[in-house]
Amino acid sequence: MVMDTDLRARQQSVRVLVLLDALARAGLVPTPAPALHELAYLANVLSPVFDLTPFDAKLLKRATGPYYPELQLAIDRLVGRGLVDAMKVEYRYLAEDKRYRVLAQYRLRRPLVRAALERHGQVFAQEAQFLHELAAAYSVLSDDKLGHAAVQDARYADISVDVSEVIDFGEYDNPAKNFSRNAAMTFAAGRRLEPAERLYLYLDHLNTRVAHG
Amino acid sequence: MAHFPLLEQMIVEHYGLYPGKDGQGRFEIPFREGLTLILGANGLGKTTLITMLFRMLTGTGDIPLPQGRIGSVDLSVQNLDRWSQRQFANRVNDGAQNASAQLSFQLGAKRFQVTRRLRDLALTTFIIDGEAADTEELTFRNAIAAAAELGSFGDWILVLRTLVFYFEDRRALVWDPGAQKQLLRALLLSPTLAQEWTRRERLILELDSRMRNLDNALKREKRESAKIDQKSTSAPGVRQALAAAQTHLDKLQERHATLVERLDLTDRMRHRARLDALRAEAEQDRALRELERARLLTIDAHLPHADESIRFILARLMSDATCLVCGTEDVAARRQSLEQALEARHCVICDSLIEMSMPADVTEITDARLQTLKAAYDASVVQAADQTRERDEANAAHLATSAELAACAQERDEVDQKVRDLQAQLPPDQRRVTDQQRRLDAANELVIDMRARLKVARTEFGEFLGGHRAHIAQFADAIKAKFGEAANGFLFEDSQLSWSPTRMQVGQAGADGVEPVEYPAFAVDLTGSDFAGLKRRGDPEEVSESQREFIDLAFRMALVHVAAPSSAASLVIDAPESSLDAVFVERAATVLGLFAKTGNHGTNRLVVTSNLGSGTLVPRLLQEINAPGDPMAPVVDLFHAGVPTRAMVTWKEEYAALWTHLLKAVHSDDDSEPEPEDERDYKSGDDDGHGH
Repeated sequence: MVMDTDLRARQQSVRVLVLLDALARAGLVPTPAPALHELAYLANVLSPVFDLTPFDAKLLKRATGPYYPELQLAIDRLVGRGLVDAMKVEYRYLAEDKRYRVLAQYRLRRPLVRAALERHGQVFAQEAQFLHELAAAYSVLSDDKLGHAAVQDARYADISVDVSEVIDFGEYDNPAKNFSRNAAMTFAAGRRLEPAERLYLYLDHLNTRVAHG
Repeated sequence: MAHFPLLEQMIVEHYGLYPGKDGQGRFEIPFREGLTLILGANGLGKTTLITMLFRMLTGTGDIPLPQGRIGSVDLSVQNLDRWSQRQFANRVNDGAQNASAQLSFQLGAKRFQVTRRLRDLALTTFIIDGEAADTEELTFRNAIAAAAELGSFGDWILVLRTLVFYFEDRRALVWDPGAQKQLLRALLLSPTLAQEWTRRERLILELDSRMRNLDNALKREKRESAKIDQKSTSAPGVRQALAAAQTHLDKLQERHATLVERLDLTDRMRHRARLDALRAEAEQDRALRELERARLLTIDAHLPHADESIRFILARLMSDATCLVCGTEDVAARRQSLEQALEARHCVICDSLIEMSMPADVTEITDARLQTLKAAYDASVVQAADQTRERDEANAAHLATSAELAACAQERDEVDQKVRDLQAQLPPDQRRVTDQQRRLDAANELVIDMRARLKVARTEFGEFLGGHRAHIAQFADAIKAKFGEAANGFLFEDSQLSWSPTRMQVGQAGADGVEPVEYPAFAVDLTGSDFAGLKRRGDPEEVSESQREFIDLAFRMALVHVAAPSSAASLVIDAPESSLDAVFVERAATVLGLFAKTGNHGTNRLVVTSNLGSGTLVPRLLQEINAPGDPMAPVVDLFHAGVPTRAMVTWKEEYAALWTHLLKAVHSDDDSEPEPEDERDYKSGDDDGHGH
């Protein structure tokens, strides 16, 4: 089914606000653009741990890590509307991806978005909880690893998907190919873990993988 | 890892097409390090010669490769039929009674010498490392497969036919997923694993074939049974309804099978359309950010004290004419007024003149670079919108087919149940009916059992393949890099090879809930004059003929290089210039020369056939190789080793002129002038048939 583009754009805007809010609560503020895209990716790939449907179950693989053009446009719009501050706006050429990437840092103008976020938290309580737990787990990464961890993620690092090919974890292909979710669900076999604990364990595992290359 | 044949020498004796030096019936073809150029004219036997070379390596065995894509063909070796064994005998008037050919070649650490009768390809001598071996064909096959470190002799023929020899039929490798999966299996897995893969796959295909045959037979029997029931005179109303229901069921089953095939096609199309759409979106983003960055640099220079967010908003408005503040798109007039204000160094908010010292190297708004970036961005917007529409349409088509299939399956099941109900209403008479039903039930159970076994075998094969696909993927970067060297040396467009496993169901029976397996495969991406960025070319029809051939050659070169890291290799190409226009010749010579001048642990052998005067590739290639001492040394001259054709007699002077022209062209970069003896007589052979 073809989604209405305006609706999709509005959903993306809300998604950005909620992600920035979660990151801010986890102490990651202002948020570097790569970290925001990375968290968006991790939220997609790990949402089944909370029995949630991924917001977007596919993306084009890039050598330097997850990047959603649509998400970046949503951030730009929010900056324009004054709901998000952009700081240290710079463009860096990434040789591996053969393109410039915006490396700004973003911060919510909280007084302007507080009411919207509270309303979202009431209506989509489980999603909000998931994102807060995920951002908190994500905050264990040191600053130099923020935005560079997802390349070690189980699904992202799958060598059967080349750079410039599509990583699919449930849009057209079988959701069983969501190796990140599968990995998160295998921790502490035989023991019952809360979904949030699985997020922490998975991000801890990711942290270790990044540390060891 | 595998080894490819490193050709050393072939000697053809007493074969009517090649009387050789002084017409004594001995024709020697030394395969030099680097290039061997078999030069002739139409009818002189160039293709026959390289076919002979091929048959010396395959003997009387062959694999039944179809004309187009090889699909799931059985690679078991079959003996050539009598006609094919006599293919060389049939070309000469004495039936090649006393003719023979002897080929010497290396394969890894082993050196082989093979002699065959040309009248029937029978093996007459077989020497391995100087020791005479048994001349049984099976001994030959086993020894060759073992030395090549391949799992079977069938794999050896596959490697020769799809990789080493590039015949005139131009069998595509990079665009044939079936050929790719078989080659990657054969070359990059151990012989034992490669064989185990084949064994498991063949088991599934055989089970699939048996199950489908039995299922079809069962359906036929059911129809026959229904017809007999209809002929009976009792319960005429029920029988009439049964006949109608059975006809309806037959049609639904046909339709179901068609829809299953269509669903597979629409799924592949939507995957491809999605890839194109995501790449187009990425390309649009790339173009936007590059333009935006350039705009921001300008704005930073003009308005250094403005808030960062404001500068960013202005940069965007001046990039894609979108106002981020209110979300309005296409505010081109405002963009123009902003550009004018900045150019005049006025504040964009209050229009006051800005009193400031400007850095000397400020990027001005009207820079040609900005205009170029803007044009690139505009093109990327059009492409992204088009690809997004394509993606949505492809996805909609798939979902519609899926819904149609579900409805068809439901209706089929309902009609099937109706047929059963009607059959149950018939008088339960006759022993015949009972016996018939019993047999049908038994066959039905067998089909169900086979279907279940097929499902298990497919699942297990998918898991088996997963691990080994990952092993093969480890070579992907090296293959891609080598492909890039060769392809980008030839093509004017940017190109890249992508690791892109293909999803295929093993066998033709319905998936039955089993995911298609993912076979290892590469795909080709190419930029185009009307595309922004790289675009997947999933079919040879999506590139030009010359691009097609050299992309395939680049892929072959890359595979050869990576799959045999410890030995040099040979490539045999029939008439590479046939698809090239003059512009590509220079690059083609460079790329072919690159292969001929390099190699793993030695220098590769490139064997090329060509017609005299067919273009500039031959002289360019000879110049590129620049053989020490004599640039013409790589030439095997069929004009003197072969039997003159009527055209050669009639057009003797024209051929002589072509030869002189070739010599001049080859020596044009060389200090030495062509020697007088290089002037040729094309009517009678007076040369040894190779080199100078």
